[in-house]
Amino acid sequence: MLVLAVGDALVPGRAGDIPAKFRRLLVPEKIEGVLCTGNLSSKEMQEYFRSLSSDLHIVKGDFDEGNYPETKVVNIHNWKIGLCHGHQVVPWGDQEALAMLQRQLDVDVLITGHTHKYSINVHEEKLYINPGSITGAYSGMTSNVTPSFVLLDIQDSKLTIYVYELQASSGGEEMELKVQELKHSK
Amino acid sequence: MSEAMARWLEEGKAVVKQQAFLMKRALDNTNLRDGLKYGSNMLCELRTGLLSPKNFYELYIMVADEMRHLEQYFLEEWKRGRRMVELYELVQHAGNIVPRLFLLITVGSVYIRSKEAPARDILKDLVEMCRGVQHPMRGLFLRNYLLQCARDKLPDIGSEYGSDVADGIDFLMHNFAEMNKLWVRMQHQGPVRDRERRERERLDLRILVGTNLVRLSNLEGIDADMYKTQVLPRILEQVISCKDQIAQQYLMEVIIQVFPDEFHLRTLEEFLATCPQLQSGVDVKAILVALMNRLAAFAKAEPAQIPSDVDMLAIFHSHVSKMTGSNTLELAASLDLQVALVNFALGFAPDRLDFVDQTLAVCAQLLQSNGETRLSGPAKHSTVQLLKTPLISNGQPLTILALPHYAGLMIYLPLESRSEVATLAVRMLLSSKTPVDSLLNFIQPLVKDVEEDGPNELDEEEMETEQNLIAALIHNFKSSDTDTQYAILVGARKHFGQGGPRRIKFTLVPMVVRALELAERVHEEEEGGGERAGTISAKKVFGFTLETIKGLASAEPVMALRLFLQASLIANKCGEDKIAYELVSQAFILYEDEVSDSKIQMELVLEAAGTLFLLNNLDPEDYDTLITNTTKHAARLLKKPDQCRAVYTCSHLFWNAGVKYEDGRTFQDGKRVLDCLQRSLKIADVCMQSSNNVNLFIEILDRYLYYYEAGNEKVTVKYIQVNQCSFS
Repeated sequence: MLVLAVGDALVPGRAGDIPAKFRRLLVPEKIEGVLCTGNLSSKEMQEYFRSLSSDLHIVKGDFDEGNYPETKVVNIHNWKIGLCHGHQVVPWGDQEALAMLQRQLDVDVLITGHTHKYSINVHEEKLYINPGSITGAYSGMTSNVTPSFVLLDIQDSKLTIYVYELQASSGGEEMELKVQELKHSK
Repeated sequence: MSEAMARWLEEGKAVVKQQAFLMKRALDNTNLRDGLKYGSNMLCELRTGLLSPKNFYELYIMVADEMRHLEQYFLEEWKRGRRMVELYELVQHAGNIVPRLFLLITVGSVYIRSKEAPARDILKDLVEMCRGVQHPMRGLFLRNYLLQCARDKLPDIGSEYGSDVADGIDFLMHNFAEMNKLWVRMQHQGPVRDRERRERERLDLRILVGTNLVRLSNLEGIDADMYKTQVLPRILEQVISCKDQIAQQYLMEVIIQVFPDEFHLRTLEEFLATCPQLQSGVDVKAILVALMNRLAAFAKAEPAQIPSDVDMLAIFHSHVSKMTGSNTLELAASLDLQVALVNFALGFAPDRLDFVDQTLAVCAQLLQSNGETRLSGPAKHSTVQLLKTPLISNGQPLTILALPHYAGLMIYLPLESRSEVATLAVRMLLSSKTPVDSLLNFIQPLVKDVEEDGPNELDEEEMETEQNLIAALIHNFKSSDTDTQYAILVGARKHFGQGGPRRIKFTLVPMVVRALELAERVHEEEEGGGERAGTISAKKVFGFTLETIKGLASAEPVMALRLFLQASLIANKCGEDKIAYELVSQAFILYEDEVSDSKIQMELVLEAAGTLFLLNNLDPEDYDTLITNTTKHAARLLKKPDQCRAVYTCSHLFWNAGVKYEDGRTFQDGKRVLDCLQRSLKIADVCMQSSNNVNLFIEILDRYLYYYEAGNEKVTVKYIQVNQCSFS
């Protein structure tokens, strides 16, 4: 099952739109669920992700007005996946602090955002994913943010993680798409 | 369709079917005499006067289809050695004129193919003979049959039936003139009370007349010169002399549609000179608009084809002025003409913006003398089109900024229409670099309220969509030069600052974000050393940011607070520790004065804690002041579990390796960390008494372990064991 992990769009507060190159990649027939770390920050964005999959899970970011939960646990196949924006987890982005949240939620995978910098970590056999900001939204924590999101191919005992990133190429304004593939199993 | 009519049609079709069957059987037995007899019987059905044009057409199609068998037979006869001239004479013995002429045309078609006589002569004979039928509908269909049979046999360049295209033209012009007369005559038959029905029927039949012009336009041999001297004048002569409104309207439009644009360009004077001679009911405006739009599209597609020796703009301008000057047109119609003129000018001479603006000035006069302050109805619609045209016409929406009279026209529109135009402009502009001030002036209805419009009644959702668009636009206000970028932001805030509470919520956030980004860029320039192009300082940009956030504070205190915290992160990054301190202080002031919702208080305390932890450039004493304050707020939260969690979260602030004293010591105060943990433990105890909140203990225990492993000597095994006892 292919699931999109995404967050921190912050449209229109901090970014104009999702990059066209990403929009072309994201097609509704392929994506069977969306795990959103929050801070979409506008209805348009939420509708956009709902149009990709009606199975949409959102948690509350610090710039969200909606009535979303702070954390959420989603079961997909054999996996317990925890979702949290991450601004509540102080120090922000700290691995040990995230590990405490992972233990609280008792999950196999913890997906958080807030830093606007994608990262995939395995810590004490648990998987930590931060999909970054899909719009490359401006951030006080990370300089020169690159737009990114993560696709998860979830099978019973195996996860394949695809990281999509748009990097500024040396040759001018055009952004270059970079895809990484990682594997994880219980 | 009335029942009687349906019955007549069915009866007619039944007879056609039966007679066609007999005809074909006779032909199979090579019995030409009987074949012609049954064929005539079948054709006699077309003598009916009972059917409406649509029903007649159905019957006609059926008959014409059957006639192909007869034509095929004639062809075979010819191949067997029969002279066509004999047959041509033979069929003229048929008793009734309608079948006789249909048969004659059918034989004529094969006669031409046989080349026993020149096509020109046969066609001429046929087109003359058809005069025998003067009943309008029957005549029109008969001549349509002639056109159909002659279609591939017209003399033309490269045709095997004669290469002199003039013969082809003569034939078609002759037939066209006759058909037009028949068609016009329909108008004057029957009682006056049936006029409406008659006009409807005429419209159903117009395409039969127009087919002549289509055939003319298909003749290869006609070039622009020939069109100018031999074709168009003859068509126009018919158009004028028929003095019929329906015919004139239709034919003028058909001329525009069917002949190539190159021809129109060479004959504008002739064509336009005809317009004033048309009947008073003819919608000349529609004709002009159609012509201008068509030519504009052509000019865009094939700019090289435009002849340089004709001043198109002047020609159309003078005609349009004559029409609008005559005072016979409604305001909306006058405006429609100007819209077409603008579209035409933008297509034909994209660099002649002065002309476009001149046209807009004419519109401004029209609207001024009209006297309404806000338009409605068709005039409103036309004005919206007028303003949209330069935006979409040549893919360069910025054109509008070079048109001094453009923005002035906006004021005649009611708010929703102005928003419609402005929204289109924003969409078109989103991808382009723009002089911000003129742009914002233009999109003003989206940016602020104007008294004359009365209360703005957009609902929340519309407002949100619109303002989100504007917010997205702000992210496109970009300049690589930092001074220019600053000037853009200052100019933009002047506009957005007036937007009122419902708008600034959307617009000031991106403004702040852009300002922070600029501050960071300026700081990098400052750090870079050497000569800077810009003169603006990072401090000044932060000052601007602070003011902008303050502008939002009364309407949206929580948002402003969050922006202060965000801004402090950037100030810290830029080494501006005093500014960072000031920004956080501003956040605290808002927290204390404006935030009363306990749930939001909890969120904000955690966010402040997260932010403060990253402010590593602060003077340790300043840092101490701010985190102590935060911890105090944490302990004062309304709900006990919130207090508990906020206080243990604040413990991290006292264990911060990032913040350093001058002598290099880090800000890691084990004692105060422990104080926080002990305090949250006490609160957790209280919580346990009211409800079984064991999770809190686990969370706190996790912190004890965290600090134990991190080397905080004050947190010893003793505390961990005590803590474990609490919930075991």
